[in-house]
Order: sequence, then C-alpha cells, then structure tokens
Amino acid sequence: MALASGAIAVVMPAVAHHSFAMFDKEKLLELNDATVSKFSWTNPHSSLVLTVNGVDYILECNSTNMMSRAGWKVNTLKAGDKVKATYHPLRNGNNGGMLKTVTLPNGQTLSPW
Amino acid sequence: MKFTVLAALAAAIQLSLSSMAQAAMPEAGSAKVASPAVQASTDKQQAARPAKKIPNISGVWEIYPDPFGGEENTFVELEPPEGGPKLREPYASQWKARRADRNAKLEAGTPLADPSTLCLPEGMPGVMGAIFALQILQTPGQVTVLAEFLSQVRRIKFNKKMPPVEEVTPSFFGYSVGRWEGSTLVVTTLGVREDTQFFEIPHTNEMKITERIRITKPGYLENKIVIEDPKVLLEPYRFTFGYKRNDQYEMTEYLCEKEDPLLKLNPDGTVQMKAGSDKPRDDAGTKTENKEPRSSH
Repeated sequence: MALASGAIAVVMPAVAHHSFAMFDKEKLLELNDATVSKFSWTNPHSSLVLTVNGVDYILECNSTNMMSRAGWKVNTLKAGDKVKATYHPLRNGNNGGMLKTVTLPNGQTLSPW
Repeated sequence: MKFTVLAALAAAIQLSLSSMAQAAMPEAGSAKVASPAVQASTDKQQAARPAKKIPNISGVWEIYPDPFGGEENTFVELEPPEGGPKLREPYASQWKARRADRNAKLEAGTPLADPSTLCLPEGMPGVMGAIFALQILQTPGQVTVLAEFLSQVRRIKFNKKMPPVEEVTPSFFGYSVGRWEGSTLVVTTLGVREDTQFFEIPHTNEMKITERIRITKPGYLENKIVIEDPKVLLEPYRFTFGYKRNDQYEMTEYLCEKEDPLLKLNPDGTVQMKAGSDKPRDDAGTKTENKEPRSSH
C-alpha cells in the first residue's frame, strides 16, 4: 500500500495482535498542531507521545525492524517536533491509540504499519 | 618422499572436507586430488552420495504466503495451522476452552498476553512460523536458523546421535539432529520444554517434531512439519510453512526493553496501555501527571 507521499506502509505481524484489540479499527481520529513530547524507538513496539493543547496522547507504533522497513529511522522524530497524526483510538476512551500516520515537519508522511 | 607425504595429506584433507560437505553443505567444487588411490576412494564416495545435490538454503527467508499481506490483513489474528491439532480428551476440551477465553477477551478489548508479548522465545515449532525473517546459515556440521524476532537461534546438528529423551535438557528449541535425504533436509527435534507451547497446544516431554525442508522452486522453501506426541495427540499434527527468499533484507537485532514503556501486564494476565489508562478523557485541565519531563537522553 503506497501512501500519497510515496512512503510504503508495511503490515504488522501477529506479535502485536494482542494490542490491536484495544483499539477501534473502524475509527480514525486526527491530531493537528501536535508536538512530540517523546519518541521511543524500542522493541517490542516503539511509541510516540504527542501533546495537543496540553493533553498527552500515547500512540503505539511498530517494532523497530518493521518501522525501518516502513522508512522510519531512530532519529525520524524528536521531542519538540511539530507534526500531524492520525490514529485508531483506544476503545476505553482514554487519550491515545494506535498510530496510523504521522506527517513530519518536512511534509513527509510515514506509517508505522 | 616429501611430495608423497604432502599429497597424502592433501588427499586426507580433501576426503574429510567431502564428508563434512555431505553433512551440511552443498557439494564442493571439483576435488584437486593427487594420487589414483585417492581418486578411486573419492569416486566411490561420490557414487555413494545421493543423486540429488544438497541445495544451498543459506540466506534470508520470509514466510510465504504472507498472512499479513495487504492492508485488509493488518489486524488479522493468526490461527493455528490446519485448524489445530486433533487432541485427546481432556486436552481437546481444555484447549478449546482456553482458545475461546482468549478470543472472548480479544473481542472485549482486554486481550491476554502471550509469551511473545512478554518477549519470551517462541521456541519450536513456533519460531519456524517466521513472524519476521529467518536467516539460515549452512556451515560444516550444522545448519543454524537465526530468527529476527527476539533474536532467536536454533542449531540443527549433523552427524550427531539423538540422545534418549530423558537425557535431553528441556529447552525452548529442543535438541535438533539433521540429515540430508537427497535434497531434503530432515530434522528431528526432541526436548522442547512443556511450558513452551505453539498456539497454547499442550505437549509432553516426549513430543517429537520432524521437519522436511526443501527448495520447491528457485527462491522458495517449504518446511513440512509433523508433530508427534501420542499421549496428547490422537494423530500426528501436520502442517507446512512456506518461505520466500529475500537476501536483500538486512536482518536486525530484536531484543526487548527491560520494561515495556507502552503496555502493562495485569495480574489476570491481560495487557493494557500504560500512560493515560486511568485518566478520563474529560479531565484535560488536571493532566499534569501525564506530562513526561522533557529531558534529553
């Protein structure tokens, strides 16, 4: 699946499937004017904390090998970066979910999946 | 005099290389043999060799077909192959209940952790399901499988006798002995730990896993697996994993952080997101405890 920017999305094997259940896969929400508070490049899954108007959203990403295959690098994001994002929200209503896309300051859009 | 000794030495080395080559590797290039006596022995050895050549299965292999290929399959839950094993009772009912409980919790959005969630090795046969790429290395006397997922390693030993199962130390990957039957690699594994399960399928310490691994066409590998464990299985559990070569892929390390920054494990075995999990959505003004210190490290 190719995204508008040309980035290729890769799919996430079963290892994270346990946590897919926590997200609403039918809903896709947007975060505009978000600031990166934290970007963790780790296994079994990377994570991103975006802050919008003082509210933190914790977003699950993929394992680092899969992120790399999708075009991410360890230094793709850092605290303070201004980004836009879309995500599948947590079913329990808390702030956060599964990151679907992020648009970097340079305009490039990446997906962790 | 000196020349003859050297020639004999060269021949001896050539012969031992040839036998090791049969053990694990593809046929070596043509022998540089000195004396007719040695040539005759080599000819005899080649005649005794199977007609089919030992293939080169070294390289990087990915599961094929890919169960997660295509965007529609992002959220797919893997099911046990061939619908699962034919278990004896009471194991069959117990397993069915366990799977039903797991699926119910998944539907409810409160999924159960599994060993992979906790970054424990998949072990055998799960590792051969190649959730991520497998790197296979053929070297004299051994075929090594390096799985990217959790940086798992299994060693398939050649020219070794399988010990009696009661002497095998239970391990995640078991003790594996391999041999070539023509161009098929046949591997026998015993001694997988009883708490290392494939899709939660119970097994005893007598479980035997047999694999028949061969190249089906250039770039494609097949692993026909048979699991035998008469005390729990009504019949052997048979399924096949397929792989496609992808030598362009650069394998990475995959080891987990000591503490998962994202998920926490509840006492009941379910997992949930950490930060914000107990903070209600409406509470925007008092979320100070959510903010991470902006330190650079």
